[in-house]
Amino acid sequence: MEVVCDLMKGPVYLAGEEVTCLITFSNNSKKTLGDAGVVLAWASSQLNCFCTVSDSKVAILDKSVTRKSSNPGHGPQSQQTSFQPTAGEAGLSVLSTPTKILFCDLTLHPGERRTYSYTETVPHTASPTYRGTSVKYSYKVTIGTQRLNCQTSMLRVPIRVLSIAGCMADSGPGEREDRLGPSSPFMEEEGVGDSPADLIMQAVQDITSKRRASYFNIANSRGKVCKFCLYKRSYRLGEDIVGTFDFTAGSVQCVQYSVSLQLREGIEQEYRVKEDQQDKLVTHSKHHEVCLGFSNSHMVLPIPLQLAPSFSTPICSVSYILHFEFVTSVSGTAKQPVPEEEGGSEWQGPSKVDIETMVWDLPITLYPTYPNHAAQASQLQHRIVGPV
Amino acid sequence: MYYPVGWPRMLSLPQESGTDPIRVSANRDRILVALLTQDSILIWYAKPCVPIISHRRSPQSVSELGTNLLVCWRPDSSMIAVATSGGHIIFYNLVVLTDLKSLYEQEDPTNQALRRESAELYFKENVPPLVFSQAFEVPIPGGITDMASIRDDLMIATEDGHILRYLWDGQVNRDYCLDLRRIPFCVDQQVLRAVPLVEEAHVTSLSYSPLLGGFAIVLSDGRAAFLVANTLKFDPNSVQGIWAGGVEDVTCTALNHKYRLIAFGRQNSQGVVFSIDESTGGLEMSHQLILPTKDYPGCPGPVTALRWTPDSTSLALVWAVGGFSIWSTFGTMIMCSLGWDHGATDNISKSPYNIQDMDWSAEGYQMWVVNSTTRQFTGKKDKEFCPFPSETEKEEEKPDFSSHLGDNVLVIPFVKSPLTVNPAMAANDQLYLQGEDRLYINTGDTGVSQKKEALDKIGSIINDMADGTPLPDFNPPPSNHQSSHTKQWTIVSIPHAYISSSWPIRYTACDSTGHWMAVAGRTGLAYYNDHSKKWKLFGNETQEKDFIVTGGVLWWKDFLVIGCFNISANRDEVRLYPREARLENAYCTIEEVDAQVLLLNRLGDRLVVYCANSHISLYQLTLDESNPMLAILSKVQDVDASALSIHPACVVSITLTHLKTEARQRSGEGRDSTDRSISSADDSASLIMNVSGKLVLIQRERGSGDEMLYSPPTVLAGSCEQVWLPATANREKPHLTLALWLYCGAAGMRVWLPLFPREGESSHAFMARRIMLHFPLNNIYPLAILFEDALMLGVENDTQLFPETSSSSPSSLPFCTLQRVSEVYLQQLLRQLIRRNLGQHAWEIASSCSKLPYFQHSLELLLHSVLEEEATSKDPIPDALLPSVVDFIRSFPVYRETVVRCTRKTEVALWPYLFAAVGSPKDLFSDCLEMGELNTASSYLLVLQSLEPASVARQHATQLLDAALDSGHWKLAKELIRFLRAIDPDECEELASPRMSQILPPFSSPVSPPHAEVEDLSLVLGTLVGPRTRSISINQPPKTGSPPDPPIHPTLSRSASEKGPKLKRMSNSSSHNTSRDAGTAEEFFIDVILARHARKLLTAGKMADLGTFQANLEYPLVSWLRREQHRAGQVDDFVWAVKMIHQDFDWPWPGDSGGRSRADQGNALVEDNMRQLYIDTGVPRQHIQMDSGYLSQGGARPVRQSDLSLLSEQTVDAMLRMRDRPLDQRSVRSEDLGSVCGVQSPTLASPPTFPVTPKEADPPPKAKAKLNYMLNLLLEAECLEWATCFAIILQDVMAIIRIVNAARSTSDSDTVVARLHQGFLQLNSFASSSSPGYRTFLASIQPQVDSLASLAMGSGGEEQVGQEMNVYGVSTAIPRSLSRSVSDPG
Repeated sequence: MEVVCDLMKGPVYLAGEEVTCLITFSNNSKKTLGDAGVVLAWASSQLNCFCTVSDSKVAILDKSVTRKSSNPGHGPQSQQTSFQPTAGEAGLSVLSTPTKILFCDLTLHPGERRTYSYTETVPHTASPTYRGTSVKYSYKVTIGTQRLNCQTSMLRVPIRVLSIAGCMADSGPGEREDRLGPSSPFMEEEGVGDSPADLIMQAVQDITSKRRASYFNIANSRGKVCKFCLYKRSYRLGEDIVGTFDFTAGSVQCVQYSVSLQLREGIEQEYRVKEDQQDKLVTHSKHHEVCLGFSNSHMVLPIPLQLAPSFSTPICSVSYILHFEFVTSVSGTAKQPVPEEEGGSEWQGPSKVDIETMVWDLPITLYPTYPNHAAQASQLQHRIVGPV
Repeated sequence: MYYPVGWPRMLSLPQESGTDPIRVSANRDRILVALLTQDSILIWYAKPCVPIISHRRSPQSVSELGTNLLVCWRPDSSMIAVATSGGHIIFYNLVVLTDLKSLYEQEDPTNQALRRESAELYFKENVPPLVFSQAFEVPIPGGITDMASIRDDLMIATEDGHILRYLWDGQVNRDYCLDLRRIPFCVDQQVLRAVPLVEEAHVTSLSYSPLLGGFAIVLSDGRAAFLVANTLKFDPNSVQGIWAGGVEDVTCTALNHKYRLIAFGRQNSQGVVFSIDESTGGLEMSHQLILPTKDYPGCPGPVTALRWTPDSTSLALVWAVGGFSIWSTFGTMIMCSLGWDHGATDNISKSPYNIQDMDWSAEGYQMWVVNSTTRQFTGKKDKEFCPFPSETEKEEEKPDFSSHLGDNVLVIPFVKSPLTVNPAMAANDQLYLQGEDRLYINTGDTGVSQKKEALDKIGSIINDMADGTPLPDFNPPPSNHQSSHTKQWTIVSIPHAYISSSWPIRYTACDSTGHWMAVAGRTGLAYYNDHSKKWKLFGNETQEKDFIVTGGVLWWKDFLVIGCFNISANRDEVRLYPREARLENAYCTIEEVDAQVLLLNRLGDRLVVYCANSHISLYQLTLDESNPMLAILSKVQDVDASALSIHPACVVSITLTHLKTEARQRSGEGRDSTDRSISSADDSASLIMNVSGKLVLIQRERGSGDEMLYSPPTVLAGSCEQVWLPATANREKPHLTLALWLYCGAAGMRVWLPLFPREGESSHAFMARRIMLHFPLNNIYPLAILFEDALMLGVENDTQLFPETSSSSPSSLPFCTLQRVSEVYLQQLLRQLIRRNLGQHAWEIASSCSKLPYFQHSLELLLHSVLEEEATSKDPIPDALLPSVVDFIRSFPVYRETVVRCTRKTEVALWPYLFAAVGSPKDLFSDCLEMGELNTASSYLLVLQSLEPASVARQHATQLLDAALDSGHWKLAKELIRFLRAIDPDECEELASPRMSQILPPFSSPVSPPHAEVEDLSLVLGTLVGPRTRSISINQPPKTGSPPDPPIHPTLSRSASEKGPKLKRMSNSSSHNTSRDAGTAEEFFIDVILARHARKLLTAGKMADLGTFQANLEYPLVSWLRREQHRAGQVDDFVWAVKMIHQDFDWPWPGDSGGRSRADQGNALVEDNMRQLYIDTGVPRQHIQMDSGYLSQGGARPVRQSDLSLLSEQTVDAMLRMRDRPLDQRSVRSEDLGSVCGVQSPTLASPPTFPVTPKEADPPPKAKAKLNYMLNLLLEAECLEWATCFAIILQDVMAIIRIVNAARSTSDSDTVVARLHQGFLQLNSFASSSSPGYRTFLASIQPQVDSLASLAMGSGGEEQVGQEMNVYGVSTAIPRSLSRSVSDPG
């Protein structure tokens, strides 16, 4: 016996979007005459989000459920007949949708198969899939099946969820009513309404497509280094962060700079292990340039698709910053003047440059992208096959 | 191919009050760049981009020798020569200081906090500490116009007509100096006819290529020639000039070594490229570089500079007015900055790019350009060369616009296709580009295969779900343009740890899955796994630094195959690194080769290696069975191929293939190379080599003995830039997957297509088994070909404008981005085959592709292109292609759709030509009807409307309307009714032809959305036929005896809503009074058709369909039903009717047990209600008559009664309470009313009349609304018998009471009452026998039934009727506008 789960829209979803999968149970055994077929007692599905924390970094009272060890249950080997999707899973189940029963008492003869569909909405408020150092959020669709007189078998289908803070997908249906107005009940409502995913992405587009250039005069104690211009502060995953540097505006020579996109993972006060627990910073993308020879330059920093959008939960908050390091020359390099001696003058780049390095952080916000884009970077499968 | 990306960066020169930059020139390995300003020379390092040294001459020196003019590197980079305007050459010796490791050594301060943090800030790159060890100057007699270095000498062209040869020590090499006047010139190398120059002329531009074996020169009179000599030394006595024919306005030249091409720039802003004819030695024009007018409709002035990229695959061309462009080797324009969107100041004369000189640095990832403020040319001077006047000409007083980025050196970043350096990547269909520190991967599917898979999957699943489980609504992944993949690139940054020491990246390779990427830079290599998102670098840096990848990189199974030079051992090798092991030489397999590896490629397990000694070696790759990390290379063969190429460097690509000149039968003997059959197949693999653009096939055949021998090479094509071969053959699509694809630049695409003899047919000897087809490509430069999808992929530049920070910074320029483009090529292939009378083969190909989503579209393109071409041709076409194309398309089921879509996109003037070939549109229309292609038929209707008299169109529209009604195509039916109404009856007699072209404009959009047909009708009607409808309502109001017009539907177009009110008023007065014969024929027809259909539905008992029909077509059902109440509206068998309703509306039968408990509960309520409401039961007939006009219009809003009554305040309370009870389930409406009117009747708040018990299956709320709606309609129309059935199903006591009362008050109440009573009896007996669920309800209405029984004998209730009449009298008096405002609260 085999159970196959096909994720119809791929493995990546926005919070607020529907997860639809087709679940096929098939009896693959060779056809033999007189075979009675396999009886499946029941099959149920549920969508769960598990939160796993690292004990050394997050203080959670009930440690037993959050450790990497299995959730207590009756143990996977026991002869249980109930559907316990969280059993045997690491972490605390922070989200469990109502269990849906796919069928009860199904007999499949050799070669037969049967397909059921399972649809569940990922709540708007769900946190995104995130694999941090102290906290991890992971989503799974679990399909439990029990063969008659056998133990329950679980098929776990991992999905990735992208969510945006303050989702506004609710505005959709209200508008629709206004638009169409009352009419004959025989008028078929056309499926023109935007799907929740479209509405969410429209909102994201609205936020991230606004360009408002911010200018920053970068300076240190010796004077101005350059003028930096960033065209916006909100980005979708997969976009490029574009900024320009104007070094002509500075009096201190900039030798090189590096800009990195850093993820900052902070644990909320009440979950901290130590009072002064530092936020964890992880660098995800970097742009480095030796700019000594340039009067104007720019950076193009790609945002990896696999990142989680900015979010916060009661336990942790994940935000992003652009971390700048400017390496400036202490003395500056001499420029070549118009030569006075007849043979002209020769200038050579300095063999040594005394430098200072200073850093600067600029917060930015990351928003989800289209699930089918994000799916490009994800290694999750559209189809998961498991035994029953 | 090269594409600019991002913005340029601007250099800051380390000089005080520096002079204008003049020239830029990269040295041979393109790591150092010499920058010439008027008074100085600077040497820059390319990465990190910093100045190394500068020599600046004193003002005295400048006035003595003149300003700097030209710069030339000695090939070994040890010297540099600068020519001055005063006719001097200054030689500089360059040496690297040995006591210094690097310049710009950075020293961190002692303060820890100010130290560098990130690793990449400690760059490993050493900036070589160069110094000018010596400088001397040499006067050149005659003044210098250009310089070129030839081996160890410097050639200097002078103004007095000499080309002087100097040694790098400043000595003139007198024996080898050339005097132009003594050189014989001719058109080819036949010396006999050569004549020396008679005119006074000198060389203005000079360029040398050792692979071409000569100099390209441009003369001061605009002519151009190529200088060759018999000897390598260029003995003046053997030097001969060959004219570049046909051009006399040449400005500059550049030579392409690899493809052996000579490019010249011209005054007329075009370029021309010559190749050397091998037989005569003359110059033969290969192609021209003409700026397409779609990119820039004008003349940007003379070409001022040309530069080939280091790999010879692209050419940069700049014009004097400004702007630059990139061209492929054989003349396809890849990008042009003139077409960019510069925002508001989009004006060529303000083009910020005003490039004076440029050069490519490292691997072509950067183009260094000298941008000048003042323009060399503005379009004023040489009008004769400018066919299009430019805008500057109007303002002749004004000085030239200066470039706001002027007098700066810019570095423009570029990305390129891996095909430019690693042709083995043509075997993959992944589209990716390489930049100097990152890879741009477009993993986004084209949508084709993905969708196909998804559909297949769904299809198979649906088959499985035959047991009736409802399928979820499956929407394929959203594919709106915003989420399209074309602009979404996944960027993989090459890790700093590798790139910092191995910049620039030379080779990149991607495996066939697209998950493994390998890069190789200056030394060593690294690779990336897309799954883990991790790079793998050499653990041992010495090993990394110890070899240079020279011959390309490719993946074979789990191994990375490279050709490299081992520095420490000083030998050339082929290496295989297992990708799963650590990156270390200990795991790699090394095979030594004799000479430097130049090219690598593979087919299956066979590896072909092309080396610098012109030897082609074949290796067999096998896995070691004991150790999966170990691969074994075994040499199979080694061939000397030096005869094929002048120089090994001229071999562009080498490919192994199983293709033969003769395609074998598709049963396939090893051609369909699966891994199993490969060992035998590999031996017969042929070689395809691209030598300087000439593609040769070397077949391997069985010789007399049993050994495999190479047969003599066959030339397949010339001017070939790129070759693609399908990796695997697909038996379903043998043609497409066994073809050889060649891209030939401006000459377009060539396909070497196999032609399989038909089954059972002995192959004709006449027919070649393969055919070379070629077709132009206008919109795409192909980088990858998806053979099975009949699609090619390319990349295009797009630009974004960012808000300007300052006009003098490069960010004021458009920001270059990349986007993927794709093009279907199927129609091109088909056309070429049909042209050659190979329709059978075309058919085979087309059938194999008929499942592609754009198959119909490509047929349409095929038809359209042929039609446009032949119909607009001025001369008669002897053998027109159109008939055969039409015949061809006719063999596919999408034929009619294709024809009509093509028609709609073609000018009306061409229609007769088209229909002469395809036959009458009437016939096609009838065929569509027959085949049930109603939407297609509706498109034909529009064609008919333009080509035929209106009466014909009307007749066809009527037919179509019938069909549409029958099949429930409501939208279409609605549009057709509008269409029919819009036909002016007066025009029926006219001939439509004179107006034809005004009716339908040519549809220029190339692709129409797949469901556009229905909308098309309204589009045409709304904008173009609209005025005609309006003329009806204005000019001839009394004439139209139209039935009541439907209320304004939100989707109606404006023209319809304008005519709406007028018609309505007429209809109110006329609909029932005017006799039918006064109405126009078509109105009558429409009515008849609609009525006929309604009757059909009614008599068949299809009430749900009737409701849908009414709702969609806004049919005045009430008035019609009233007419039919004693005819079709009668029910003879009530039980049948109830059953039909249950079935039609999917209404559950009331359960037995549940029903009982509910009835108990309900009974009390019913009685309450009856007590409360009994007064209202009589419905006067008169009232309904008067109200009918409104009712029929109010179809879109079912709460007519309550709406009206709400407005007359006195009656509101009473009316609401009674009428709203049964309707109150329709929550939307009651809320609506309450909120609008602010009247909340207390009864509304009470629980619904029949609360549904939870035990029973909930009746679908939608169906309930529908039933209620129908019931009300029927009540209004006094179709009492049907109404009874509905009331019973709804278990609506109130309705029954109304029905009974209505029956009593009808004129012939006796029969009505009798029939009704009969019906109740039928139902009673049915309920008691087989539907116990209804028993309780029927029992509860027994009093009514009894009263009917008694009524059958007498009558009563007159007084009540009179009372009720008043109430309704008020409501009917309400003006229409008021009631509308209620119904549309928004």
